[in-house]
Amino acid sequence: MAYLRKRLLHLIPVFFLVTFASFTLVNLLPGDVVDAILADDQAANDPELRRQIKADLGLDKPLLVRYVVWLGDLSQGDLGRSYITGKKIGDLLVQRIPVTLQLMVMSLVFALLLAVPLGILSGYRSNRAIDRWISGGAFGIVAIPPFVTAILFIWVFAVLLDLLPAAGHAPMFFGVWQNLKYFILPMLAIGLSEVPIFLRVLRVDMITTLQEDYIALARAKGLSTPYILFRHALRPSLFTLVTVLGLQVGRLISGLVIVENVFALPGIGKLLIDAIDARDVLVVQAIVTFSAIAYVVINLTVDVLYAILDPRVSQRPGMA
Amino acid sequence: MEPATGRQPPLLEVVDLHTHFVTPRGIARAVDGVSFRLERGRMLGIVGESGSGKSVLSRSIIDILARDGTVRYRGQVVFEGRDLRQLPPKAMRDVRGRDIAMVFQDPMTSLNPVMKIGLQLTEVLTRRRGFSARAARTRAIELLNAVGIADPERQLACYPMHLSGGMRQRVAIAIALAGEPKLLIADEPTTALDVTIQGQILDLLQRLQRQRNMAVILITHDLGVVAGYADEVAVMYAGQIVERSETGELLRRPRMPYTEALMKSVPLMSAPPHTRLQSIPGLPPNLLDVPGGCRFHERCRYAREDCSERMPPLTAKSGSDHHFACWYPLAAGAEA
Repeated sequence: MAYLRKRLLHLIPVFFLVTFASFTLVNLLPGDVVDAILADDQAANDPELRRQIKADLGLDKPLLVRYVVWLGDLSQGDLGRSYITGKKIGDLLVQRIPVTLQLMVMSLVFALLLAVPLGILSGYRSNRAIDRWISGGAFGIVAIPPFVTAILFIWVFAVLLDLLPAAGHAPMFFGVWQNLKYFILPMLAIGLSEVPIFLRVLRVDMITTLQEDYIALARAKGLSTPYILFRHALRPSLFTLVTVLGLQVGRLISGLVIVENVFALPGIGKLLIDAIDARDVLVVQAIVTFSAIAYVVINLTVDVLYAILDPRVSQRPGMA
Repeated sequence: MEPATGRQPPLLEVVDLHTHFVTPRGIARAVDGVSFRLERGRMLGIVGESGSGKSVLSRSIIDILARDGTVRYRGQVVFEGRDLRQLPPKAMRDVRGRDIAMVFQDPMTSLNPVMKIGLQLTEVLTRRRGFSARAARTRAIELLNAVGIADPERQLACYPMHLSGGMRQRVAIAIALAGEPKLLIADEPTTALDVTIQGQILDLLQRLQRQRNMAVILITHDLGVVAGYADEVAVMYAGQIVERSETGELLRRPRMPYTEALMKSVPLMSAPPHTRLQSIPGLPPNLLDVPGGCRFHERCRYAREDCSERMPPLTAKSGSDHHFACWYPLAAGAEA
């Protein structure tokens, strides 16, 4: 528990670092939110109007002041309002995050359901024909980025076979299948791209574990091979996979941005791209902050998972 | 000594067993033509230096060497009249853990670090012998009691890391006993333990062997261990058995120079006080490239020219059960 508290304290500097960096960088973007607001306006070039809008939004103040104001609002639970639509950003996130979260969880579950059995099989039969086929397939997949598979899937499943919708979203209250069918293709596109990495790291750990004496003893007990693989060998082989899982979430977030846009899924990835286009700085800021915190929290969960996977971890001194 | 009566086949008979590993640098002859027999309830000590093939031999008997496609077997392992090498995998699984069980050298690595002791012990009972979970738990407590573990009920919920080395080896023995085996193979069961614990574990093995009329193959590099516990001894060198006899006979009258050299290299209770220990010159042969003729000839102080040309067979004088493989054996009456 002391260990967990220490890790939570680490969150504080990370939070300031990430939010300040993103605040600065987003403000360095060329272009101006005023252009976006006045896009169709005759008076777009009226300097007085422009100054007025800037003052209303608080953009006439120095960067550091704006950052401190933003932090102050955040501490009250207020993420500010969108410059463009004037909607509360908190409400926007509450609408969009569940979509992204659903896609992320579905993709990871799909990837693990595929990668874990294949990784075990690949490690158990290492360097045999089946392992070579699995590894070959994995290399093939890893070479194709998710947005390419996404477009391929749209072409095959939506255009040629007409089985699934090409793009869009239906909330849960339209029915579970209505909701899920929009998620299947994006899930395949993202999930599949994660499979090779998960599979490869599990395979390597599996090969090492299978050389352990306790596996020889399990065999000497006359236990069946599937039981030995899943009950005795899998858990000690999960360390790297769990670590990679945590790190991949960061990569996954950027993958989601692209795939959500390809499939027109209204998650935070889509929101982010729209906000950047409009130079809607506070929205971008909120999403970046949210992803950073999510990333840190997920990797904290990974640390807790280590202790669950191996009872020795929590009793080992100096784990930090 | 007991000559085979002929009425009942021996519990285990290994006939000309070869276990070779195909490696990128050639074929490693880890076990190269080993034959021996073991009667019910007897303890056979297999002695040899590291790399003599004794561990591979023990794993070959129950066929648990890694299945990475590099292992080549030849020969027979006949257990209660059935050749285990010919059994289908399912039937072989029934032999493992039930008829033949095994205890490994290092209890730090042979118990699964992420599984509780209780499950590692009861899974043999529930998955192999049809015990209910409740009955398995009761039996597990009995087994832990039988191997001298205090407060067994509490230990069931422990992970191996919570136990000392000696305690872990007791747990490993309890796991082996769970299948009520007729043969227990103990591969250097005390090598990784403190000297003070070694005697306790060996005493325990001997007691269990006698109580249960269980045959034991005790694999060790320590002739002293064998002298105190085994009924019979087989000496292994470079993948072969070079001498085999009843323990007392072998220690009194070693015939093969390697056995003699081995005896002189360790302190034995039977040796007179202040006997100097002698090391064996040279190294055991590389199993990828074994010498021709007698495999010990390069390190043998009695070797003659033809020792490097012809391999001596493992034979016994008629009427004797003392087998040895040597062209120029030590005189039968000479004290080592």
